[in-house]
This record gives sequence, C-alpha cells and structure tokens, in this order.
Amino acid sequence: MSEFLVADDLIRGFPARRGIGDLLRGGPRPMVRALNGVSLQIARGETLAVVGESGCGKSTLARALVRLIELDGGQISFDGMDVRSLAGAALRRYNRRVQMVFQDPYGSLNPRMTVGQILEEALQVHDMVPATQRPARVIELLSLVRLPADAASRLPHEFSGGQRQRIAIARALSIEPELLIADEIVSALDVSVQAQILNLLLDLQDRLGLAILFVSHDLRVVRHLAHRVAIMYLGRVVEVGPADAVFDAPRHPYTKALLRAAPSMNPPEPGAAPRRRTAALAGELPSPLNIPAGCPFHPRCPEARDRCTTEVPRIHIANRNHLATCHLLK
Amino acid sequence: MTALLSVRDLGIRIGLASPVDGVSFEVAAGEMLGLVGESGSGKSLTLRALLQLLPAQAATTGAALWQGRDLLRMTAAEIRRVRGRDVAMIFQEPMTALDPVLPIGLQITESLDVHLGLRGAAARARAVQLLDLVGIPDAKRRLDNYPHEFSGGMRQRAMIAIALAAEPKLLLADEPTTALDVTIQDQILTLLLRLKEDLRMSVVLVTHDLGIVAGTCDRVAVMYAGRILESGSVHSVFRSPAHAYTLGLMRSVPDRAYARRPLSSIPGSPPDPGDMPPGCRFAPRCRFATAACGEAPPPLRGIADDHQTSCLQAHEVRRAAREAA
Repeated sequence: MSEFLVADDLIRGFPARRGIGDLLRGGPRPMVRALNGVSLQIARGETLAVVGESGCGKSTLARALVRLIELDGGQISFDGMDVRSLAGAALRRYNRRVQMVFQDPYGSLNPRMTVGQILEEALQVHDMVPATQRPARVIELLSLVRLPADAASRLPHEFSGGQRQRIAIARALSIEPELLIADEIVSALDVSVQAQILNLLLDLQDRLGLAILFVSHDLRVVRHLAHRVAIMYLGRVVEVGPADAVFDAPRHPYTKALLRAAPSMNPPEPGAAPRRRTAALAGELPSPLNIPAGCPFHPRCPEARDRCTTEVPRIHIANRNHLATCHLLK
Repeated sequence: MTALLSVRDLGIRIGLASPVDGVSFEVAAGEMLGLVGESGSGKSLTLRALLQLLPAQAATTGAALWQGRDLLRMTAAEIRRVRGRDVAMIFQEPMTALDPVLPIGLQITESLDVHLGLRGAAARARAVQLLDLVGIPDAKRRLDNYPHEFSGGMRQRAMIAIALAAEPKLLLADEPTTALDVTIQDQILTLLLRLKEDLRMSVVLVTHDLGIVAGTCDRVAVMYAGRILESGSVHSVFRSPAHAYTLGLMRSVPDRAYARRPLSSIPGSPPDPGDMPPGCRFAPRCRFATAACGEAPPPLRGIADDHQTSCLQAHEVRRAAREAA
C-alpha cells in the first residue's frame, strides 16, 4: 500500500472554560483532550471512514488534517511532505490537493453569492483555468454533481439541502483535489437524498480516483462507502481495518456494541421472542474533560478486568491490516 | 383489539398550504405505532395536532377520537386535562422542552401536583421512583440538578419521567432519539420498549429512520407529502412493501449486502405543500407511475391482513421487491 496521507500520534487539547469555583480554587485550566495520539493512513483512491460518537475527536481530526486546527503534537505527512510545517504558497498548494466538505450545507455557502460566483471564486483563488474559460468550467462542475446549468445564476437559498451539499461538493472538486475530507456530509439529509449523495461520491471516486476521508457516526452509510474503517473513542482510534473485517469480525468491545446498537432494517418474526430488553451498551459517554485512566472505554466495557482500569492497552494486530487496542485480545 | 385512539381524515391547513391531508390511523391499547417519513411529510404536525399544539394560524379538519371524544374539538380547558394526564408527549430536543431555570425534581413534582394532586414528601418520593424507572442513577441527588447539568441522553430520560408522571395511556414521541448518539439512542429505545410493556402504555413514535421502526414498532404508517401512503404490521410492510415510495425509501438505506454499489435513490424532491400534485402525491417521482396515478388521489385499501396501501401499482411494486430480495 503506497501511503498517501499518514497521520502519526496526533495530539490536540482545548482549554475549557472555568467556572467561578474553579477560578477561586486556582489550579491548572481543565483541558478537553480531543485527540490523544491518533495515527492512521490513507492510500490513494481509497475511502477511509472515521466513525465515532460525540466527543470522540473525529471532527477535530478532520479539521486538523486540513490545517483548520493546529496540533499540539504529532506528524502529518502527505505525499512525502511534512504538512505541519507548510506555510504561505506551499500551504495553499496543499489545501488545493486536500479539500474539505462540511456537515452543514447552509452554513458553508455564502448566501449573497450566486452558485456560479461561488464556484468561479474557487477557480480564481487557486488559478485553475484562465478567466475566460471559468464559466464553461462552472457548467462542467455542475453537471459533474448532476445539477442543471441554470443553477449557476441562482443563490444558495433557492436550493434544497441535498442540492446545497452537491454545490459544496462541486466547489471542493473544482480545484481537482486528490483527497476529499468529508465531515458528516450526509448526516443532515433525508435518506432518499442521502442515497443520491452517496451514489455521487462512489461515482466521483471511480472517475477521478479521489481518496476520501469520510467522517460519520452512521454505520450503515460507512459500511456502504468505506474500503477501510477506523473506530474512534475519546480521542483514540480503538480499532482500524478493512471494512469487511471490522463489520463482520469486530475485535474491540466498543465496536461490537456500536454494531449492536445500530438499528437494523429487519423486524423480528411475528410471534418470535419479545424484543431485546437490554441496551447494547450501558452508561454515558465520559466527558472528554476527564478521560478515564487505563483503557478509556473500561467504565462502559462489559468485559473489563482489573488491568483495563490502570494500563492503557497497546495495539493488538488481529490480522495483517486489522488492528485493535484492547487488553482482552491475546 | 379496540382502538385507543382513532384518527379519521385529519387535515391541517396553514394559510393556502395543506401540509397534512386525509390522514387516518388507529392506535390499539399497548401497541407501538411508527409514523415514518422524510422532512416535510407532515408526521410531526400530525402528532402535534392531536394535542392541539399547532401554531394558532393552523386549522384542523377531521377527528381524533379518544375514548369517544374528539381531541381536535375540545375546549382549551378540556384538552388541558387530557394533555400530560391521558396523553403525554416527548420531543426531539429535551433542552427546549425542559425549563432551564427549574430543577428537574420540581418539574416532575409540578406535573404530579397538576395531574394527580400529589404534593410535598409524597410527590418527592414519587419523583425519585420515576427517575429510577427511566434509569437515571442516583435519582435522589439528581432531583436537585438543573437540566444543563444533565447529558443529552439523561435529559431525554428526565423528559420521559415527566411524561410518565401521571401514568398516561398514550405517549406521543416526536423523534425522541434523533439528537442522540447511537449507543444512547439504543438505550432510550430499549427504555421505551420496556415502559410500553411494563406500563401497558401505547406509543406513537415519529421518526425518519426505518431501522428504528423495524426494531421497536408493532405497526407502521408511512407518510409522504401530508398523506399516509401505506400502513400495516411492521412485519408485513418490511417484508413485502406495497407502495412505490416505501420501496424507494427502503432501497435508499444502505444495505451491507450491496456495499459500494449504487443505491436506488429516489430522484427529484417532494412537492411544495402549496402546490400538491392532483393524483398520488408521489407520482411525479415514481418509476412505476401510470396515467391513472396522476388523476385522483388513490385511497388506502387493504391488500392483506393488517396491511393497507394507496399504491395503484402495488402488484408491480411487490413483484419488484420480491425480485430484488
């Protein structure tokens, strides 16, 4: 596997606001530890899905990879370059090759610019095509994401949520990126519209050879799209591997619980035993302000032992490319 | 089984638009009915109409019979006695439904006072029981917490505790897990199933997620553009969908067997509520549609035991569903 983007031991914390009591008592400012040593790789043309619940650090990871957030520690290398040291023109070149699309298609498009202006601006900033050819390129881009050519003269508010997400994707693609970072881009959409966007992503990847980092909490969508999957919990990757392996033979107790908790489309047989009455996973997500010692999952883990409460588990290799961090894997 | 609630030909008009039109369904005692549809299908409006919680400019037609009385035509005083007592409601975002400046305990005892006349130590003891019932640990201490001190999942539990205060016979749940993480969603759905069985309560669950319906409901009604297009037992509707829209919706959900292959999405977008198609409202987007589908709105008709559809092409749809399976 030729490594295209490699993230190694990424660390990022955010200082939290202190209440008046904490201020008076003094002491160090509490830190939200969003990324606690995240390592992963993406190969050219592949989709890596990053899955996790709120506070697991998946969006911080996505933003850190495009340098919207600076890291406290760790290395990112892209095509042999050290991403964290890029500045000026080199950073702009990097941002052309690695583009991000956000969850909220309402918040990420300028409401006062027509769709044509939004797309032309991207082309102009990155000097993609001569000014005279920009309108033609805009029409090409719109047809790439299956919007009509007359969309160029309209404003974002005239479109539905799914159409706006296509516009955001068209803008990201306008500068011919090699890696698309998609942060929950179908989460706000209805299922029939979501299917349209997923089909579009599959098709674009086929045609353009894009690599995609797909951040999502929806396991059904991830299963559909991903070649490989990384499961995150409280700022750490707890399991990573080929999608088939992670979904069919999950190793980490958290992955197993997530898969059990995801709603299935198959209702029970009539007259069958009553529906399951215990939840897949008990307990709440701990606050990222106060991450449990040892394995961060141990307070909720149905299989936790003494060792899990004190010792951070090392990476266990289940199979060549399938890794999990759990003491129970021997 | 006799119906606890019988909604007949419910229509909602807001200005010139009719976002809900000709909706009829029944809820039997002890059953969980899923009202499923995409944004703008009218599912939440339908639920709110039952307790007269629509905005003032909305007008309703039809009837919603509750123990022989029409909920839609009750006076303000009458509906207030039903709300929270016989029929309770929980919402998607508990933070907007809970009072942010009152402790959780007070919000529960308030409900106990209004509906059951329970006060003082007795009310407090009952409030602890209710928090226990919905799985809030350390309930006694948590009574004095404010909503902002609760996590999203705990707030939803607290809201369910308030809803259960007067032991309602019917719980209306409007997307109660949409804002929650998947493991917390699973906990809340498990809780609703347990409460439904232990308290013999009926539930109408509004959701956009077919998977949630499959996992929790006994019966389902599929809504689109303000109408119910198909309804029936969850088993029958999921095994053998008989409306082109239901089939399209099911095919839009990624299935592990078809990973990385194109999903059969539904082309186009739903109609404008001010300008509904004259016939079947799904016809303009439907790949099964014939000329007849565009003429008059087709009514629901029974096609099997506890299974109704309005689709004129139900036969073709079921054949397509079988072939794909």
